[in-house]
Amino acid sequence: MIMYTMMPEELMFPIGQETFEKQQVIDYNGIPLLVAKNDMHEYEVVRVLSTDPSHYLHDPVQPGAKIPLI
Amino acid sequence: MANRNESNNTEEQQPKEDKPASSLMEKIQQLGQTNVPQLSQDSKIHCLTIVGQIEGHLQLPPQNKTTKYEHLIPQIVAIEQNPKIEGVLVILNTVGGDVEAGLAISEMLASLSKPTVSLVLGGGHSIGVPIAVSCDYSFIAETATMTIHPIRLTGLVIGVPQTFEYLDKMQERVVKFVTKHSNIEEEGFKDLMFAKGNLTRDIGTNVIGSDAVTSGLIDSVGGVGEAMTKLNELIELKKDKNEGIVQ
Repeated sequence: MIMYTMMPEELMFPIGQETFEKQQVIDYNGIPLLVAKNDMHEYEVVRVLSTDPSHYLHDPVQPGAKIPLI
Repeated sequence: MANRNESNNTEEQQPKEDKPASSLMEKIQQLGQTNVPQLSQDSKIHCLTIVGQIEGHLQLPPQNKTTKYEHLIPQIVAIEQNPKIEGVLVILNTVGGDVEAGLAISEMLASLSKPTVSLVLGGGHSIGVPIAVSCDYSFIAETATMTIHPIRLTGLVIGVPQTFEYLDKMQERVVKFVTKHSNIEEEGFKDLMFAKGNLTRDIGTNVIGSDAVTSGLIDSVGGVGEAMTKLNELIELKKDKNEGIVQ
């Protein structure tokens, strides 16, 4: 079935709460990070949210890096 | 599995330091490269990246790349308050998004007391236009584009005349902001906004690189090198001005 509508997709098909809970913003040694929890009970860095360019060169928070859950 | 987690917990402070071989493997997995250059000192220029969609009151699902104003606005406040930060570089690659959120970010950047330079890379569409012009000086990459089009709503709209009046007022705010912070005149901007035949089956204009400069919207064509040079120049200018006041 094809449905044509001018409504935004998220209004037609609301996304479950658990999708939003997967990602969260944490502060890691003063660097704000957007992280996603993975199956290994670790945080995986999705995005660095800092404005300081030197934070983007900081090894432990490179996107894809894993931070253990505390 | 359990062992791996334990070892990770103990080296929380200095991850990957003790295991050079596996850390190298991890790095290759993460970035496809083995080392990342390090900056020694704190940077006096901070960088705000505005990417993806500008998110308004409705939270978008995580697969969307979004710029959230609840993240950006505290960061701009922190930049304003931190005496070590001397300038801000704003990098845009956005498709646009929420008008109110975009205008909020634009107003914050325009009222920042520190020198700001914006650089449009790829795209600075729709509500990205006021953000690009809000800075002290603006650059656009030669291949970057900006789509200028009238304000519209998606979602549930109450079809009463008041809704359209409200939309018109909202558009007026955007037009006023852009004309106040750039060299384009109101008439010229509205001409671009309501132009026919430029966008397939829609009104508006897609300005590319130098077109944005000739229309007066953006100050010049350039990349990150030019933007940094200009920002350093503005920082020096501000320093000289402050010294002048002291004397």
